[in-house]
Amino acid sequence: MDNATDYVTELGESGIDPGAHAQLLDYLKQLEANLERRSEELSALQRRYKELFEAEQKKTQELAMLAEIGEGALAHHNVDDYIHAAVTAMQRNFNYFDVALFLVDQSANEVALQSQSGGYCRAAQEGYRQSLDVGIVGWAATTGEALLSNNVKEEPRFYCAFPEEQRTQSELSVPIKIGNIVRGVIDVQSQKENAFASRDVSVLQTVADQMATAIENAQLYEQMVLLKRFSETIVASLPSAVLVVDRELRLVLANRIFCEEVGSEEDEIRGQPLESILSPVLLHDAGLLDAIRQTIESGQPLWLGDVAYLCGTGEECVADVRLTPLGTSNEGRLLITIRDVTQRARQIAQLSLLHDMGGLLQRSLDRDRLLYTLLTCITAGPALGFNRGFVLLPDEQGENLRGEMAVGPVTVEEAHRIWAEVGKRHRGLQDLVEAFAPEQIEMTDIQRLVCGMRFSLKESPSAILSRVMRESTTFRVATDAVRRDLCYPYGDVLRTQEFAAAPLIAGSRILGVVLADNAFNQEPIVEEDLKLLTTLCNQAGLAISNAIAHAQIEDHADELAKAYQRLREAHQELVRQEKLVTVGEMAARVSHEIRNPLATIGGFARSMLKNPDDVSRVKSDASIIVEEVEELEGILGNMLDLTRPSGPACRLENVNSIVEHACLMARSDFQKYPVSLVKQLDDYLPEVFVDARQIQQGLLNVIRNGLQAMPEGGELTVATASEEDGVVVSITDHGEGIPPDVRDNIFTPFYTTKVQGTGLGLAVTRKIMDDHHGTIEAQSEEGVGTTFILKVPYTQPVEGTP
Amino acid sequence: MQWSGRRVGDTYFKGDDATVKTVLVVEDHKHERILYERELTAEGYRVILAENGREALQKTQEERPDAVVLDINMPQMDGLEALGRILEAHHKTPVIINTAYSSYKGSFMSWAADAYVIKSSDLTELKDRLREALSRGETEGV
Repeated sequence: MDNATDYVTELGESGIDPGAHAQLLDYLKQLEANLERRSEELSALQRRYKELFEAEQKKTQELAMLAEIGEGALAHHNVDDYIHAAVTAMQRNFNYFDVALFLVDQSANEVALQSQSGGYCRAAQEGYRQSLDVGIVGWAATTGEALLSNNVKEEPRFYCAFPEEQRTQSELSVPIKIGNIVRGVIDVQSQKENAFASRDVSVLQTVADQMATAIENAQLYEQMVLLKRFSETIVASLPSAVLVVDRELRLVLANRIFCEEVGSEEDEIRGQPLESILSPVLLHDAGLLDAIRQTIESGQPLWLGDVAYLCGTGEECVADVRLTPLGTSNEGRLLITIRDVTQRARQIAQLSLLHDMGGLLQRSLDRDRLLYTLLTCITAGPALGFNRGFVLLPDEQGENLRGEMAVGPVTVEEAHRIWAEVGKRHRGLQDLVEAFAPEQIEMTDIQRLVCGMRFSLKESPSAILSRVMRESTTFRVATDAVRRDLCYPYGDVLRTQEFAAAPLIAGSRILGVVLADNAFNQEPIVEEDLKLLTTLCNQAGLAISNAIAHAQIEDHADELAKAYQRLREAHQELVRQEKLVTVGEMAARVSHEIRNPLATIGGFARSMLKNPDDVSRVKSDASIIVEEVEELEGILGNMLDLTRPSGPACRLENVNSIVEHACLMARSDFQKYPVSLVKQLDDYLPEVFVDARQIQQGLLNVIRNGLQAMPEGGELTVATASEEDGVVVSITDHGEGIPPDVRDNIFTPFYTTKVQGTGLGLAVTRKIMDDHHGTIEAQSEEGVGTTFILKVPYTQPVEGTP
Repeated sequence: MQWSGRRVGDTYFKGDDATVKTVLVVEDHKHERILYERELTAEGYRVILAENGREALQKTQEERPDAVVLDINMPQMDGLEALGRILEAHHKTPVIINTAYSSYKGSFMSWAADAYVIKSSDLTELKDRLREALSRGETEGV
């Protein structure tokens, strides 16, 4: 421009119109000024664009780095790898001198160097750790704030971890936070002063945030992987077969046991439909497939406790199957656990069988029935299922074994006939046992056969039967041994090739030997059969021993019963003698009672004989005789009252009127004694069901007794009252009372302490009260008197009973 | 005592008041009293009667009988008790127990009696014992 103005100036000097020239010159000068201004504007613009460009470029770099780090987060499931990739990316993209990443170990109060990239790479040692309390890193880690120092010489928090770091001029630490927790620190260092701008801080913070998320994800992922491995290890090591199927019933996963079970590698069967893997017996026949479908539909777990099926070898197997839906029902994945519980199921079946058989054996205390039950258990299909069973018992000397009982066929034809019959009528073990009929057993061929069996234990001590008896062990005698062994002299008769011999044991006693064979279907006798047979024989032995003990107890019981009978007879004899004594006492008493009137009668009769002519005297004597005879009759009547078994003739009566009658009857007695009668009768007495005549007699006896107790006179009180359970009559005298030592005897016939009387009165009254289901008791106090209390219950005596 | 000095043969002398023996019969039973009175009077005794032990004791003291025929089972005073009392006061007077019971024979008290007769319609034994007792009393009295 300068040149153009100069040129115009020169042009003006060369003679061009000076006005125009000047004008042109001004214009040019304006132009130049404009031009210069524009140029400045342009350069400013250019600078701004450059700045913008650089900023954009940096942003792009940052974005690229962030993208790289972000991609790294996706690419690396391993935290270590990811962190390393991120650190490298930062260092490369921003051209930092050195980038390090520390992870915070709160438990150790330390930060640990996880990854490093840049200038100090060789200087820092792997696994380097430093305290949380030191350095710019430590500050960022503990406060959770970024810290920038562009001149570390001035920064007291700067910490020089290794000699090379002394060249550091600038350092920036940014925390990596998950939530509020600082998980790590990004540390950037430079050997230049003022190396970092605020821009670096914000970028690194963005990176830190991104890393935080990624680290968390990666850690979660690691945990998940660990968990998965853990689960897989568990699944693989489970003692059950475990498999997972999807909605389409294709195999997703299977453990080793399942693979072994189906005989394939997991890789071969993965993705295959279940139906091509599991046997149709289990899937269809046992209904497993339906259950699986049902579980997938419902989403509810299902447990099939005992899935029975026939396995390849034809044996019946039992499986425990558990179906567990996995995840959400939409996924439709199903965990299937199959456990082979055949062994357990068999053991349970055997136990149950032994229990049943034990129960049957405990039902009887009859030896023959027990033996039959044992043999039925040995031979019945639902039990041990041997073809035949024999019981041999030792004789009394223990020298020989004798065949006792047997169950089973003798010939093949009979065997088929029996089995066909049993097959037709499906009968349980219990029914078979209950069919026991001793007389039918007697008639069977095999029973006839067994009855002929004799075996001398003495002569063949080494034979199996002797050893069974001696060692109380179960033996299986195999094909060859049957012929060889002398013990089986009836091998030919029994036509068997193999048999089992078990002892019948009760505690330490050996009761006999049980033989069992499969003579007709030739089924081999296996270990399990022997075990069951042994156990069964033990049970049977105990039951038989119980039966024997019971029989002995019964014998004892018989003896006891006989002893009791003898005792009772002895007792009856005693009672009879007691009665004789009583009768003797009675005789004495009666002899006195009778002797007096008899002597009088006889005396007067003799007198009459001597002087038959004195008519008036004969008359008076005769009247005396008549009176005496009447007295004799009275005594006799009293005795008869006591012994006569006639019961009361009852009707509803008012006891008060009975009492009145009795008192009336006792009137003559009252005249003999200076005793006054006091009556206290309850006017509201309920009627009772009694024989009025008998009760009257009973009361009269007690009243007379009371009178005789008071020869010196006094009051005799007769009272009636109603009580809760009956009507009570009490008769109180004021005599001397009854001495305690004779109180027990006052109701005994012919027992009397009195001069007069037969000793029958109170006894008769007691009998009357007994006949009325009533009571009589005496309350006596010596020197005061005695009260007799007679009670008649309201209840109506049972008809027909005395 | 009051008969001391008399001869044996006098016992059988009848009709003479001095030689007629007095016999006390103790018996609660009315009819028996009548019988004994009649029979013993026919034997030649003077018979006095008592119904019970107490009366017997009283009559013994008043009448001084030569012998007592005593029943044991009686009201008021038991025969054995009466025997004791009688012998206490008049230990020489012969007492013959006349009872329906044989069981009192063993009683200590009855040993004190001169004789023990079980009642019978035949009074021969009673009469014999009575005669013996009276003659013994006479002999002793000599």
